[in-house]
Amino acid sequence: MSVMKQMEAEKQTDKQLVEMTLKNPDCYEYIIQRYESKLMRYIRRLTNVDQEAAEDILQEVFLKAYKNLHGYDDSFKFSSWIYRITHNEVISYFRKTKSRPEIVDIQVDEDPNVDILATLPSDINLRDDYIKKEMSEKVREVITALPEKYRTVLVLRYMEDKSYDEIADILEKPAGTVATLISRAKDEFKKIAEKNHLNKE
Amino acid sequence: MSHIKEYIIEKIKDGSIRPTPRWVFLLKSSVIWGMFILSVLFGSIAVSIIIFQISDADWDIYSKMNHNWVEFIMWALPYFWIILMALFLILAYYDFRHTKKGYRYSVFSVFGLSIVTSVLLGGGLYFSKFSEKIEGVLLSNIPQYDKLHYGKQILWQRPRQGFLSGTIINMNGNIFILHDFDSRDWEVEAEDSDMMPGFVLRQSTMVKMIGDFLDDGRFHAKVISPWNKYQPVR
Repeated sequence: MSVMKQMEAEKQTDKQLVEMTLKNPDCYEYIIQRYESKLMRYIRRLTNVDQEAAEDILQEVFLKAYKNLHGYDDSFKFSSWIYRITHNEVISYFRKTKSRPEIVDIQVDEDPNVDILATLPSDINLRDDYIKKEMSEKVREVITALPEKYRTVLVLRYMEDKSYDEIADILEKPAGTVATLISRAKDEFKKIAEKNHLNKE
Repeated sequence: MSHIKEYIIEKIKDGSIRPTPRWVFLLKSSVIWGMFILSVLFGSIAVSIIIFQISDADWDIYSKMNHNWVEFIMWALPYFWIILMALFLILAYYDFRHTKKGYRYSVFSVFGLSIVTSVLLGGGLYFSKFSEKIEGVLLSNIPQYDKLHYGKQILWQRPRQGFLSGTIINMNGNIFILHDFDSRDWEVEAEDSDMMPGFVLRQSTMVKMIGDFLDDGRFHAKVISPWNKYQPVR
């Protein structure tokens, strides 16, 4: 069976690609293609592992996703399902290597015109003032300094742009717990930003 | 083609990885749901026996026992079944949490739902007399089961205060020999004792009595009742 053309594959939904893969395993390459860079970025955002280790994790994610394809329940978003596998694989990687996601020192140039704290009160501000104004690097560095549970929710919410329900499905936690975690993570974010003088003096 | 994609597709093609069959996931899911249902069911049975044992406690005579009602309840609570019920609740939560969408619900809502279901089902089992039957079966088939009523034994093992209990080991007219829970034998006079209608004293019957301590090894019974509402079938 010949594999469909690239253009056709792009028009297919995730669910359709899953069904097609179960009929013709070659179609799995379209799923990989669709998620490879997204998941690689997610792994790098969660961890500070080098490229090689990130690729190892990603490879394992795609192998596990393929093996468990019959277990995918299409009442979930496929993206939530594969992000969940990725998240679990990252945790498993750190368990295996008996290390923890590295915490980096925040060293950013102080810019008197930048007031990170002032932008934190709302979700929109976080996105608009930093990500849209290309300040995401500073935000990312602060996020990297957060404890893993807070870092994960902030990465998913503000960098991967996931909804609360999607985050709940990825982390396998009730939506209320996710909301609490995000709120606490934002408080932690503020503290670290303040400590590192990332706000306007 | 990226090397990750290349590697995975190669593995798929050479057959070294293949999707786990659908039935494995269905089986796993069914086992988890089955365990959840069983946990709730056993929890309900535990609740029904708790209700039965509490209602079967000697509420009518507690005032004679020189205890306030809080103290009496503390003695009367069936701790074994309460612990068992808690274990089934935890198991039910664990099973539910491992269902596909179980994580979407908070600990409180899952526990709340399990408790409400167990209490409703347990109440139903109690009113349908199922718990009495279970209690009877356990008493008949597990000799050690009765020792679980430890609090009750202490309440009824105070001969000097007029409370005595144990098993009749010998009958001789209105006098019988009783082997108490402390393994002591008593000669009990029962000629003018009150007994519930239909209750007949026989050898091997377990009884509880209110009466007078005469002297060491002798007791005068004023009221004699079966130790349990449902006597084990021997």
